Amino acid sequence: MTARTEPQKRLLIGASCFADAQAALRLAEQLTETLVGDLGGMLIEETIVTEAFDLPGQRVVTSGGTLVVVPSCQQIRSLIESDAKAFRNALVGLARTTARKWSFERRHGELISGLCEAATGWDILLLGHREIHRQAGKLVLITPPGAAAQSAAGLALDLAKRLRADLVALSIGPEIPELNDVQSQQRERFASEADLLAFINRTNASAVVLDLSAGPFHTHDQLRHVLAVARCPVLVLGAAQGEASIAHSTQISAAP
Amino acid sequence: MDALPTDKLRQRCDPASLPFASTKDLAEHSELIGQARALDAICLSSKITHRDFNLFVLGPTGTGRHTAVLKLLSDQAATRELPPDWAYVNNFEAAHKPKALRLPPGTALTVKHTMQNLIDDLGSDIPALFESEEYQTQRRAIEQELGEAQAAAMAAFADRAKAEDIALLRTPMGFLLTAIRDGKPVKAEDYQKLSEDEQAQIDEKIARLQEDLAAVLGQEPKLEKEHRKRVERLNAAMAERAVSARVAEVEADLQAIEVVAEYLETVREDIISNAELFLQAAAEQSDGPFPQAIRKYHREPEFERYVVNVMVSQDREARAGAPVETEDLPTLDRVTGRIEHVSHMGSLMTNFSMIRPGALHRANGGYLVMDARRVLSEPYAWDALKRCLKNQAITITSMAERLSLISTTSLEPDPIPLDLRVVLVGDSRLYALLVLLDPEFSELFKLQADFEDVVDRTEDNLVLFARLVGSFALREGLRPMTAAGVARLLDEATRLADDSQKLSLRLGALSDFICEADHYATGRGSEFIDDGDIDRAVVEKDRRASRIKDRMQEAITRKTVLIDTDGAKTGQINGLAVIGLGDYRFGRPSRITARVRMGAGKLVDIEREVELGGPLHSKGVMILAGYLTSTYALDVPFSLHASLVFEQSYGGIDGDSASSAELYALLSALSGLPIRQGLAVTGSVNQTGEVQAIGGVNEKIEGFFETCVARGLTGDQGVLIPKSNIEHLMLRSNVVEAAEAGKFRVIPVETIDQGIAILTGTEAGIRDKDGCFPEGSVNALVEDRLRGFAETRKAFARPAKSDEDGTDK
Repeated sequence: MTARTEPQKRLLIGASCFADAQAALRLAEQLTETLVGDLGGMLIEETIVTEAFDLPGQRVVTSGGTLVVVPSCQQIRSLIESDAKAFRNALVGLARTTARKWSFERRHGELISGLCEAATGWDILLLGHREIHRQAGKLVLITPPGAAAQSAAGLALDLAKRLRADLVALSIGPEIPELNDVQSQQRERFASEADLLAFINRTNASAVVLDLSAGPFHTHDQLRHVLAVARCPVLVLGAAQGEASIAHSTQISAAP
Repeated sequence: MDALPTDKLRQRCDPASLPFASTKDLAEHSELIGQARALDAICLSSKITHRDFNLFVLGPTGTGRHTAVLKLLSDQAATRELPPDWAYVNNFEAAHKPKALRLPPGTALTVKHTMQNLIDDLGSDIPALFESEEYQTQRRAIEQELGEAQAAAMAAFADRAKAEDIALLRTPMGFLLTAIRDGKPVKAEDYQKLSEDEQAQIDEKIARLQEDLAAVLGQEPKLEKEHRKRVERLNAAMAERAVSARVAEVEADLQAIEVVAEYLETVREDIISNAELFLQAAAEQSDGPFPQAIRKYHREPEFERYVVNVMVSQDREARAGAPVETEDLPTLDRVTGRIEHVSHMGSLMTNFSMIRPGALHRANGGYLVMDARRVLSEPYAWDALKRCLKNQAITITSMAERLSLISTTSLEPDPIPLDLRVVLVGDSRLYALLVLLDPEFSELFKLQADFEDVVDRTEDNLVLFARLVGSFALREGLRPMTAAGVARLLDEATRLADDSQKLSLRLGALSDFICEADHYATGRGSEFIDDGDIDRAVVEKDRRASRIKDRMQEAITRKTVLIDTDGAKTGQINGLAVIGLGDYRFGRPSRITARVRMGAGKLVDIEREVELGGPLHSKGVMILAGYLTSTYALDVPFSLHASLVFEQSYGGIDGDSASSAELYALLSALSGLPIRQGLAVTGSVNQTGEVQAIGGVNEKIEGFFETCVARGLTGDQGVLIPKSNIEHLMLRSNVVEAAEAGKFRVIPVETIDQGIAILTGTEAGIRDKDGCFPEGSVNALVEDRLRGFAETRKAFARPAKSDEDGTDK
């Protein structure tokens, strides 16, 4: 029997569709072994996705690079419904396998704001993003200026070991943060937020870890940009500080 | 009536004539006696190099056929070279056709163990190599390189899209491009409010960038393929280093064997391309009490593909020369080998490691000895043996496959070249049947070794036989035998031969006597087996088997079965029959009676009429009828109606040895002269009245003697035997002693005339120059009776003829 030395973290997995959630769940599987206690799942039905449809000549580009006709609103609703079920089932499967408590919720609204608001009471928010390719990439840690967020660094280091991935620590500003156990890893320093995002944009990353409460990114917009350029799941600590922007919520209780 | 001198009744070997006091003094002699013809054939078969000179050994059981064959073949095998080893290995290109490896003698097990060690070593080496930082770094480098190429393409696209105010939205189906206005995606209703130019610009950008994104994402399968190839190359390179290093460690003398070197090369290539097997095996390790370092990977099922399945391996230290193998249970599987199956998920599965060798594999390059009857009685074994000999290759086929009893995965192993001599041991009848019914037999078994069952009883042979007995006693750890004991045993060998001039070569039966006699010698605390012990063994054996004989004698004594041993009766005679129960034979008298009257020339053999007589018996009766018709009253029609019967015979009878007795009974009935019932008769007769030799003469005489003893010997009792049977006499001592005391006689006769004269006490009579028998002689009385029958018959015919003519004469 192995005694856990650290308190268990509560992990909320958020995504706007099952393809994004799937990548996050794979990462969560690695975390459940030691770090994570309770598991939560949240599917945000993004309003913009349904509103931005129906432009002339607009097509959906599949992950395999195929152009397909844009589905109707009814079809989209069916797809989202199906994705929600798949997300919930996968979460339940993971929770049962690892003997964790679980909960699942569906909401309408904007993805980042909605998840950050819902992340209150959760230790880690895991934003899902579908895999663009299958090559394992680096684990990116975004560190705050000055004193490092040790919890984010520890999480990143642990995950890097599990994924057998290189860890690269990124920071903004002239000061090099103190990072226990991350000294030997690659560290990059950038003059501005844009430079850092540009670096991430060109990096083949498996996951990005950051602490919204510690910085350098604090806002939902910044987090949205990080997710957009990373094109991989993003682990967010201190996510609850974001603004609330929930339009509608439907609670789905856990299975008995 | 000239009784046979008693010295003719039994051959006696004089112990004093033997040049030793006991067999302890004799030099060992293990050669067979009197089997030169058969032994020469065996030698020829063992030495000749041409194909198909296989050997069929025929002869009675117990003549030492197996022993002689094995000894001669072993002697010849010792002068020949050790044959090669054979093993089956996996055919990596076609697993259902395992490859046969021909290896120098004594190396197959070394190759097998070498391969086991190689797999065990690689089971540790390969996972360690793939766990190494070196491998992981190279693999990550490949993944990073390709991942970053894809990331760069996506980043470039994202930059372009951003520069053109186009946003990338993720939907359940995939990516969706939409325009951005004031930092937010344009909704469909807002789009309608835009000017046509603005709409056109947005439409054009979205259409173009959609194509670009499709192109970027479409690269992924190609990159994935490239990634797989590069990782495979990396894996192969890593595995190659480990495998080549270990293969290079294989001892140079094994590498020098061409087939081994070729096999090792194919193994090397296969392991390199299947290195994941070792990684999987390492991943499935259990946390048992033994450290990983001593794990025997070669025992894991996934590594069976590298097994060296040794079919036959020669042991230089245990044996020099070619193998001499025997197969006591020559089933198809045990002769040609078999392919075993295991049940897996409800299916029967097999592979090359489940090929098992048969007798042909073990004996390849040497000799294989089998019992012919057993080979022929095992389904498909004979057929498979012939096919292998014909093709000079061992092809393994299962009976289930031939009969289509099962349908499952099977193998077609490389046939192993066959070079051996097969020796089948059987009997003469089997040999004759094979020659007659199987045309391939004579082609494949060109030689026969025909064992004698008797040898002449010469002085030289007596001594050789004595040495053989001594050697047997020595070999079996028995007591030595005194000269008297040997002499008694030799007499018994003569008795077994049914011929006073021969010795039986059925050594098995004699060995049984020796062993039993040794037991009795042990019981009386003697260091030697003497004649008393042999005698007791013979008597005890006879006693053990004689229950039925005793019951039959008892029935005669109590007159349940009617046999007269004194007085005289007309038309009645004591015949003699032999009854065989296994290897035990005994004789018993049988009353034969004949009745005659006038008739139309018919001789009724009642045994034949009721189908209790065999064909030889019927033949004997017909011959005696021929004798009657050609000897008496030749000038008148044969007008006899006679019937002949074995009284109280209910179990059938065959053979013609009673034909002379039946004729005597008929002559007695015709002549009216009574036959002396103290005499019994045996012998067959031919149409000229000569009495011919029969079998079982000793048992027949002894059978009647015992009856007479039970009734009381009168001195007038005896047995008439054919003169030509004198040389076969080897009577028991009690009969000889009675004869010596004048209480019993054995009387040889050559003709029916001699016999009838003895039996009736009246001369038979010879025709004079007028063609008439002397008056009062047996023949004259018979002829008169027959002529009388003819006259009477003629008299019956006259009135009938006069009635037809209508006149009186």
